[in-house]
Amino acid sequence: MQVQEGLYQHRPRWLSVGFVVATAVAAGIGAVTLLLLWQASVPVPVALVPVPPPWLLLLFFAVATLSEIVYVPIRHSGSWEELTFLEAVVVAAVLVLPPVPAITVVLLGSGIAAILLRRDLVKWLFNFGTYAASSAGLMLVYYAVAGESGGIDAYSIRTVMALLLGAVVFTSVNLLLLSLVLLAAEDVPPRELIGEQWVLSLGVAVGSVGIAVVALAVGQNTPALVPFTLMPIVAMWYAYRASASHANARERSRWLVVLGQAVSTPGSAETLVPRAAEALCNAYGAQEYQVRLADGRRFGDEGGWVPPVMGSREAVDLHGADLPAGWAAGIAVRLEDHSGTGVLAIGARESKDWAARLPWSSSWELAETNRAGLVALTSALGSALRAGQTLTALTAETAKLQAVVDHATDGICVVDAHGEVLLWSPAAERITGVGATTPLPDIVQEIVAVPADPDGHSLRFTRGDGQDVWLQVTRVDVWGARATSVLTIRDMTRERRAERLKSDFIATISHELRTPITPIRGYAELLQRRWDRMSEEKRLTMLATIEERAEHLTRLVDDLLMAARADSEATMSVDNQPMDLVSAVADAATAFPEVEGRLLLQPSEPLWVLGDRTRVMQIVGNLVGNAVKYTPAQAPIHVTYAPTDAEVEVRVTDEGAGIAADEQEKVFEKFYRIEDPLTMRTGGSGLGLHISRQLARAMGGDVTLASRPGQGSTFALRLRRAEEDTWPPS
Amino acid sequence: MATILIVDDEPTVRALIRDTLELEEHVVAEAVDGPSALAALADGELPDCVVLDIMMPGISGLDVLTQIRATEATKRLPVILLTALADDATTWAGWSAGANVFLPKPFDPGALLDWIDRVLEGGGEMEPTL
Repeated sequence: MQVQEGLYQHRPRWLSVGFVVATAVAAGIGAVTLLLLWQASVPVPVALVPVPPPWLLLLFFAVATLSEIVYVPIRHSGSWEELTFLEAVVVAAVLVLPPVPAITVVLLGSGIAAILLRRDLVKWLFNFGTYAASSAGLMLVYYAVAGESGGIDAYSIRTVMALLLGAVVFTSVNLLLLSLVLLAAEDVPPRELIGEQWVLSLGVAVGSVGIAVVALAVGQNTPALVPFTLMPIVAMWYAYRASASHANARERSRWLVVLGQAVSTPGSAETLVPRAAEALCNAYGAQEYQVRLADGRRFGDEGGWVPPVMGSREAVDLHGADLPAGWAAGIAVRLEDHSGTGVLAIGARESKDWAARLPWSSSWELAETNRAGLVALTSALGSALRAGQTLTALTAETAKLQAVVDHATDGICVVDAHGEVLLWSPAAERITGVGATTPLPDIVQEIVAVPADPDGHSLRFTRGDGQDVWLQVTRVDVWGARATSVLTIRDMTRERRAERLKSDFIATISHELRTPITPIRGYAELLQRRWDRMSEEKRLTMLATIEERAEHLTRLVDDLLMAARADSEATMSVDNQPMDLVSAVADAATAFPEVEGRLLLQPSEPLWVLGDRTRVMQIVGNLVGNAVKYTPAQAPIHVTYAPTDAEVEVRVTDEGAGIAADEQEKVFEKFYRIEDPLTMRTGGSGLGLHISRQLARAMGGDVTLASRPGQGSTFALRLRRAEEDTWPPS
Repeated sequence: MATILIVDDEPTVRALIRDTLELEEHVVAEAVDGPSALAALADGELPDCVVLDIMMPGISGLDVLTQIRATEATKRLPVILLTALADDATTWAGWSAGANVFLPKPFDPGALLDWIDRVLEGGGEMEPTL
């Protein structure tokens, strides 16, 4: 199983497995060629059997093959190195056989072993190249150093040194190419591998020489004792096993760290299970995993597996039908999450490698301590899953509360017992215009200092944008694990303004109604009491005043009724007909004889609009009346037209004081008066613009305002265009 | 016969009060707003009594009254407040400012004459009524 952990950090970009394999093969071919050239031109030490009989060649070939089959695997990250006894065979071959048969039997033997073990072609090529290079290297060094003096019959210090040097070259070439391929495939730093392996390699080199030399020496004199000289091979095999187990333990620790990191972060099953199960597999040398959660979710490659019922908390060996398809061995443990009890199984595939089925090669299994570890680690995975599920539920719950806090219209503030602000909702920030920053703004301090009172507490302050804001702050103390208070902050500005509008309206309407009644009632009483003391002319003047004031009062009452109707009905009833706006404006202007000469009407062709003529005159009269009221004496009032394809605007422009931007929409509100009712300069109910806009909208148009303080105002009545009315024909 | 200053921005109300008072042979002076009333009081001879409206453009009648009371020459001048605003707050503000009489609109002209007679007889003493 190959596990790639992030990006390669040690490997140069150009170094690929293919490149290393090619290098190994090239080195092997090069070294063998060099050996063939050397032995043809330079005298080499005399071999023990200069002309080997076929049975001897067959024997060496068989031993070389066997030495490759009984390997001991050592793990390096995801790759396996196989330790074999080929080196001893090479040493023996170089002493017994001439160069060409020696290299031939060694390479043939290792090649046949690779075929029997069903090695991948790449691995076979790499092994072939490596063995060719290292074996030829050993022979070249041996022949070069030993010279003609060497040979099995005349062991000298030189011969032994030559053999030892050759073995070191064999080991070095092997180790170098192995470190390169592991760097390319697994990103294992070469320094790390060589640091770990060089002592073992050196031991193997010396041991191989010793075994081969001693075995041959003994064999020459007393062939019956040869098997005893091979005993060190057993010792070497155990050394290999110890080294392999050391490497396995190191790998296990590495994967247990990965597993620890995986389960220490709560997460979803989808992220946690594959990571943790893979780390478990690697830690315990398993190749495959299967996970079934109680809610039916499954992880692992084999979809059809039906796990056994897990009655026990112990690890259970899987046999027969309980094994997932394609598995040779497996072990299952309970995996408990919030949904119930599930199963985690790890195991090994059936091997294609027949050597794995030899009696001395054990199949995959776990020692008792490792089984306990697997149960504990799976339980930790269950805890992480449960933590993840709890966290998910908590996050969902928190998101709901967060949505309430974020979207509530009222501001929400939570403070602890020390007055520290724990929460200041977006609405609180919007209403007050400040955040709960450090140091706390004055208004926040004022709010958190509000005492607990079911009726709430009113606060008034001027916000950063200059608006006077009224707040209603209600505090509720919550006595829990930690004493906190929840404050709700309601923006009462609109309500306050409505209240003020109402009281202003009462003042205004009271003034507007009582003022005309005063002369009506006063003159009526005066006429009754002092009729005979007045001149005829005086009486008539008084009666005319009564009549005029009564009319004024009637108009006022009509306005009030219309405003009330505008509120209660969706749209005001208007009788829309094609009409000439220009003539309606001219007729409305006749109601203002006092400003004749100042009221400047733009001459225009008839402009046909869709409207109710009486209402249009009422609106224009109101707009012109306002302009007259608010314009200094003598200043002109302009009435202009702005026709477009679809609409026509009539604009009334005065040179009054103008209206501030924040008042411009308010003037269209019912009863809204810019002035203080006690000192207002002008009369009026505060209904004119409100009614005008309602009427205009009912006619499909609108009344709008453009104004700048100090530069006068322009009120515009906009109406839809209409086809010229041809009936009655003029 | 007395001299009476009428202060009101509404021409028909001024005319009513003038007609009422002139029928009783009083001499009437008029001012259309607070500033012209204060100017009249500062310049010429003092009237015997002032009839003062509260809701007027610019300076309200209450402010005019406060200034009248704050000026040495007019401190004891009888003032009858006329107002269309007869709610408690305005009434109280009127008394606080130093009105002799507080008369809500619409008023009975006879009642106005009676009050004028009473404040003139009282020598300008303030008299909370209503």
